[in-house]
Amino acid sequence: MVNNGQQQENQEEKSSFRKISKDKYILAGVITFLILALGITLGFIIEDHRYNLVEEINMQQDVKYMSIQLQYLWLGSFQNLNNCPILSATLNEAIKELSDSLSEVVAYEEEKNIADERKEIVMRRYVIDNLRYWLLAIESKQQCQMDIVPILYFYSKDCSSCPTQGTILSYYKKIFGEKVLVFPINLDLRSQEPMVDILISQFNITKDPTLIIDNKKYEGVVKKDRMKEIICSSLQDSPECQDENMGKD
Amino acid sequence: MNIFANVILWIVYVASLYFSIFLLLVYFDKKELFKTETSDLIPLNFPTVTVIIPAYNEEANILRTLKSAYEIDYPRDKIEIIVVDDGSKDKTREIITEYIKDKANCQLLYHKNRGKAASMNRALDLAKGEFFACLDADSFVDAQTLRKMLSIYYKANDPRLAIITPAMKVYKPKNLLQKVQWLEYLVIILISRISSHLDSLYVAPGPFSLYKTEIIRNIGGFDEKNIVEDQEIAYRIQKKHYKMRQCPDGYVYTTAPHRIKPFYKQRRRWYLGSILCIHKYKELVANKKYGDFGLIQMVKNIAGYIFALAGIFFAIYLFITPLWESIKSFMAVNFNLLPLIQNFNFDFRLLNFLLLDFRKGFIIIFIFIVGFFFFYAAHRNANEKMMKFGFIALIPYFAFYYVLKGIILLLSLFEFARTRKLKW
Repeated sequence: MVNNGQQQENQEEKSSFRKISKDKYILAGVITFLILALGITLGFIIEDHRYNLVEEINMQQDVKYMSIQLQYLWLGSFQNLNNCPILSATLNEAIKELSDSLSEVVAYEEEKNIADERKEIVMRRYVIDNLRYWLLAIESKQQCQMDIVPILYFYSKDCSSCPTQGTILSYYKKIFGEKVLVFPINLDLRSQEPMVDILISQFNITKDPTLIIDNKKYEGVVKKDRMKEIICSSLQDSPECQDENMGKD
Repeated sequence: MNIFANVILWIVYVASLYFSIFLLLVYFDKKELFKTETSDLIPLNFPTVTVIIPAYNEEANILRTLKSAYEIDYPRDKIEIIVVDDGSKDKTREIITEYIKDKANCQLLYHKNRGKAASMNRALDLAKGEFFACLDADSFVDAQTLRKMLSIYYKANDPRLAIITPAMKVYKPKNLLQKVQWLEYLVIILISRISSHLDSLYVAPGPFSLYKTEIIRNIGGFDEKNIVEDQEIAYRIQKKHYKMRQCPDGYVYTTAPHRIKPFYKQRRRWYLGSILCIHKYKELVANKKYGDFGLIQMVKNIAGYIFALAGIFFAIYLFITPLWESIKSFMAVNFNLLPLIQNFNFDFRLLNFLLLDFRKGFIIIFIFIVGFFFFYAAHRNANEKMMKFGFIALIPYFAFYYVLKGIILLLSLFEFARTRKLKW
């Protein structure tokens, strides 16, 4: 017993220099917590700001769309084909607007951290906008003989070859400029937006990616060269198509 | 990103932030002490010191190492040099014999290859010094370092003080890999200095750590089965409640690997060895009896490995996977990127900026600020200029180095799991 006690004493004496910087543990914890809290608070503020921005963009589009629709109605009631150039200019501008907001909405969509109801509304509106513009583009093409290729592009988040198709589409969008109009429809929204369901059953969409060009359906990835053929056959005459052919010869 | 990955990422971020803030607090607490803490060139005593140089196939470096040991600024009759040739297959032994033939205080031991720890133990048996220092054959020591270390020892005046560790620098870094390591070692000097004041040192570096002979003999010398005997001895010292101190300006210089393969081998040994050491001394982890060493240092050591692994998985997940995806999609347009690039207009949009994950970003920014601060303080601490090698070396240091270390750790673990063998 005595021996034991002595040993313990020895042990205690040995380790007497050991300090526990308790105050620093606590202080470090408090500072960490403060930084964390500050970050999270600022995060919420920014998220709010971000949503308002997206909403603003959508509202601007609403107004633009209404304006175009009115122009269209105007056009219909006066049967004046000379108004077509005006309509085409407005449509192009609106579509450019839409593609600009695309990158923002897509990025917003990719952030999947919190089930955000507001995000869902934003996404739905974006799909509806796209469909409205697509319909408008098709009608403009038929009635005004506008030289454009409206492409309806079905994709989903889990589709592995969609990025490839996306790159090919944006490649041709860059080459053909405003002649190629891509309207992306996210198939993941089918449970939220009945319009997506209607499209799926109308075109009998089973695969992603799927493209609808001039009422024809293309399933799976459309490769670069094939894509060009399709676009060029849909366009009336385009220097980009000829250039390339001349280059090949 | 799924919830599980998110939770882990948050834990990693918050814990890293916590540890760095803790170190920062200690740093600011000791800042005044750091300013006044000086080592003297004239220690209170001039005890006998044995310098042990274990060498294995070191014909390229051994002569410089021998010279640096022989030219240590210390009374000749108080210093003894024992070179142990661990069964070298090259000309190491001839070079040593030639160098020491007319020097009375030098002797050469020779045995078949048995590893560094065994060589050390053999020399330890013969050592006459009250202290002994180990000097790896790829390193050499500043002539004044021994005096500085001894002055630290006598100033501390503590019978439980067993090891004085040096401040290790990379010798004349030439290529990028060496420069990056040079930066790393500088930061280690500062971090060790902070740890030293928390009694939390856990490595006694191979190049010129100074040991109290009696204490090392009492605890049984070096562990010959261990591949990182310099860490093992430090953990053992800590476990037995002996003390270690760093001599903040006792410089030694080591040749850092200049190619990826030797670098990988060196790190593999360190990382695996260190993991095994932590495992061996796991009872110290979060053990109050060991003060800050148990509660912070051991926990930090373990967390470091877990974070490095988590980090590498996230690097793959967040960076390499998307990179591969974009390569795949660029393949679809035959890498004809000209139209994409020509029309590429980088317009800064407020919204895109706001879309970054701000909450995590905020913490990362703080961790980086603390990191930069230590980086800056480390340069001042070691009397070096920040831009000694220009900007170029700083970029890989901050951008890839920790990923590279993570990859090495991962590869080493795979290799270990496959072969179940530990290599030097």
